[in-house]
Amino acid sequence: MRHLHPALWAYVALLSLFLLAPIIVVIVAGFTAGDFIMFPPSGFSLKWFEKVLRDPDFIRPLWNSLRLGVAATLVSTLLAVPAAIALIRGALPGRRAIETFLLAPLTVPTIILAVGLLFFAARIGLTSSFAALLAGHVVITVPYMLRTVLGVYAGMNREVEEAAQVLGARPWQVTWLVTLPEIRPGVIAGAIFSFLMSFDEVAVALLLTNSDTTTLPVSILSYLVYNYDPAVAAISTIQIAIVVVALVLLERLFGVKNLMFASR
Amino acid sequence: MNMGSSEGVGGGVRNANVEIRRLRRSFGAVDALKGVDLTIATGEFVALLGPSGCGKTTLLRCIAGLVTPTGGEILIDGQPITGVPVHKRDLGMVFQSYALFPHMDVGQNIGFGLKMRGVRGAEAGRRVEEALGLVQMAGYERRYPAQLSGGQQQRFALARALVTGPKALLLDEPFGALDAKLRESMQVELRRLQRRLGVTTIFVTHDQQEALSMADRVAVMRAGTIEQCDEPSRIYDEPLTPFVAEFIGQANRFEGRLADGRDGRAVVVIGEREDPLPARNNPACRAGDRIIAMVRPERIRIGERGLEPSAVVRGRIVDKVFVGEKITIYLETSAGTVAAAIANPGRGPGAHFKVGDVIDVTWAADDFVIFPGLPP
Amino acid sequence: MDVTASADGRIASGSRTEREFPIGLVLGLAPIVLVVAVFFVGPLIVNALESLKTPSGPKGLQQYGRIFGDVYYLMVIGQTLLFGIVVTAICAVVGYPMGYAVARSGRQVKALLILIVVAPLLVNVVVRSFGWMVILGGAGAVNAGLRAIGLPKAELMYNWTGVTIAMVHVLLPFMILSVASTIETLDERLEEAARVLGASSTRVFRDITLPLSMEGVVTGAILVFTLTIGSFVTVLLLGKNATMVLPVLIYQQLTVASDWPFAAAMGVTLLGLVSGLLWAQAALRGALGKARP
Repeated sequence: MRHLHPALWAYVALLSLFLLAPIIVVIVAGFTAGDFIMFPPSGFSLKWFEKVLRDPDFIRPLWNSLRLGVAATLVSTLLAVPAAIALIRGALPGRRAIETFLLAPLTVPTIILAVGLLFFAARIGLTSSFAALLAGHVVITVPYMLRTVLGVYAGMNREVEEAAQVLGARPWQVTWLVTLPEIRPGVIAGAIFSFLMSFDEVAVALLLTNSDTTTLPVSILSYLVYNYDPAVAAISTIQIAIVVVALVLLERLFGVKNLMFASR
Repeated sequence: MNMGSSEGVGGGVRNANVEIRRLRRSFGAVDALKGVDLTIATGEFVALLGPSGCGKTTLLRCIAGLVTPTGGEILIDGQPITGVPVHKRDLGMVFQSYALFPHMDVGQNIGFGLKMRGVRGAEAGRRVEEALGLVQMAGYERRYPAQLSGGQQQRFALARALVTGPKALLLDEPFGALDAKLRESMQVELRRLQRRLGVTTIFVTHDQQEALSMADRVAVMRAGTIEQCDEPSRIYDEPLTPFVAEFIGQANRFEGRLADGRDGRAVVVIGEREDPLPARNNPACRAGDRIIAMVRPERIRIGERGLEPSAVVRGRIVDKVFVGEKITIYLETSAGTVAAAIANPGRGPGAHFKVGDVIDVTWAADDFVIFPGLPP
Repeated sequence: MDVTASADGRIASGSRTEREFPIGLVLGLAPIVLVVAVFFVGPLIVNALESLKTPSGPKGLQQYGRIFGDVYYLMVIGQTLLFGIVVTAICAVVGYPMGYAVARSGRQVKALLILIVVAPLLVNVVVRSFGWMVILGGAGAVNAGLRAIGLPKAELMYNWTGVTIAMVHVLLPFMILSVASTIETLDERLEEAARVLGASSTRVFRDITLPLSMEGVVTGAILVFTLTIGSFVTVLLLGKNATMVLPVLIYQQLTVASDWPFAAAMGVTLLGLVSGLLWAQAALRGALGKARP
């Protein structure tokens, strides 16, 4: 059914190369045996990976990023799922307005969120860096979660809920026994995507982390400011690997089609 | 009409009668139900029939509790249920989309209602098995809905609705998504099952063939009211309104005036005819009134006329449509266009009629129904 | 006997039934609204308040005066907007054919293409920028290639060229996906009908596909533009002082100059630009919506 012009295919191939180039370059550069970043690299070695995996200045931020990502995702899920159910089931006047309000953080550049949060934390005396980070990341990820769950729930056949009711299920039973299991794949997909948003986030982390709570992107960034060696490539590759694993999980559960939907 | 049976599914006589009184429901400016009255006797199978938007589904959902009426009341076995929440009404419902729980297997689906009532373990298993047997799908407990065909899914939906021995069974166009042949066999099966269990049944459909073939009584609805609720044969032969006459089956429709009757027999002047034609009396129509007169195509005979008072009309054949078991002949007459449906005569008399022939057609006066006409 | 609505949490669904208003569901919304109100709106308000601080004490718009009264800052704003426009234009032109290909390819190829397009999005922006540093830098891949064929070194980093290339790379997926999803919804039968009526492939594309897919391009463009003028990591790593944009300036004022009120004022300005654009988009969509049948 598809006969597209061969010139178009050539273009697609070229552009694909363009899109993947920096990623490939980074991954390859990490395997170099040399002491400098070069492309093409000189030789093949895992020494940089070894170095990086032993360096607490990389491992601790990696760990921080994972912890923060999981925490932010958990909180976002707990906030977004009941909200999505409420928005779709409820007869609240101004549903549209509330929805727009809750999705608003999507439209604001994260640098502004980060700056605002910095001032805000200072003003209300929030000294815990992790708490501030968590708050910032929740604000960033919760709209993605909400949008995803809204989409999944809206697309669900609601008659199963009615059937459950007629069969004798109280409202909370309907939610617990029918609704939640139904939307679970969507929720998990949204959660994985939210985790990735948090894992990759830079602006908020840059402004709100301290030496204990540094996240991986921030540590890579500060390392880059002073150094330029394959260690960065190695740790970047590890970060990419984690993302790929999450992505594979996402695809398994929910299909590639919905990546298109979730990432817009 | 069936009396309540002494065996519900899983034991326990729970079939009830349903009374609807002056039921109203508005959605904003739209009146979906405008004061509906209906009583469904215990064990009776009533079909709610009508075009989309007539309120039949709204009525069903009011009974189920999924919609709250804005006025009137609903009683089950004499008890008003208007304040009772959905999950306490003890009814069974089957949806057009089957609405089986996708993440549960068939056994868990069917057992869901039992679980809600605290019936578990071996007892639940036995009753699920029994329900599956009723719909002739024994052994499917471990299968998942996604693996099954539409017809199978609908059977499981039915089993799920019946296993708890509900007071009444509600069905919302359950066979709409099935193909014609499957639909027919499901109709037969449902009717058989319903007779066997004696469960009070309310069945919504827009398909008049479905309603007429299955129901003890058919309630024909239009724009939020019930125009007629009667046995299928009376709905067909004695429609109370032009809408019912036209919605069910085919009808030739004429407009005219009621003339002065002779010996108590109604006569009507229609179309461009000057001679009046005998019709069936309708006390609602008085001499001189405008009327609408209708006769079903299959009641029109060609040529021969019986002993009863009949209308005789001459016309020219303008079209002849072959539909398999019958032929519809369209004639231009002084009364207007007349469609006569005759059984396919094969090579018998009537086979030779051609377009352009001028023939006489007759129909009994009692088959010629009149209704008060619309004001000019 | 009239009926009152039940007070318990009855769930109704579908457009033929009413929706209930039970307390439980309202409670489901309370936490998220609270969190967003406190940690999103709160910081924005605090930011605005901070921007009103002046060295002399009383609140005022002095900070904004500094921004709009100084040619340098106005230039930065101008550069930021221009940067946004250039990146958006490039993304639109470069990304459209890819979007078309994604929308019109067979299932498996489409899945592969979507994966390729989405993959960069999921890699950290720092890592992506680092990747471009490796490619575009003095000792990087491009220059290695140029050297090999005897051409002089190309200065691709620390200037607008490098920054633009990297920024386009970051945002291209958004444009591609936006275009692709719009083209996917286009009924191919329209194109087929045109062909049957005798139009050549180019004409079909020019007169039918392109106009109908414009909506996707516009949506993508607004998205890309907003993200561009709000992004700072890429410019920070690949640019230098000559390629100053508003977000980087904000960051500098915050960390280097520690001038919080000034940074806050610039943040409000940036937010104003973004909001203004989104509002214009909504207004435009409303107007277009009325124009279309």
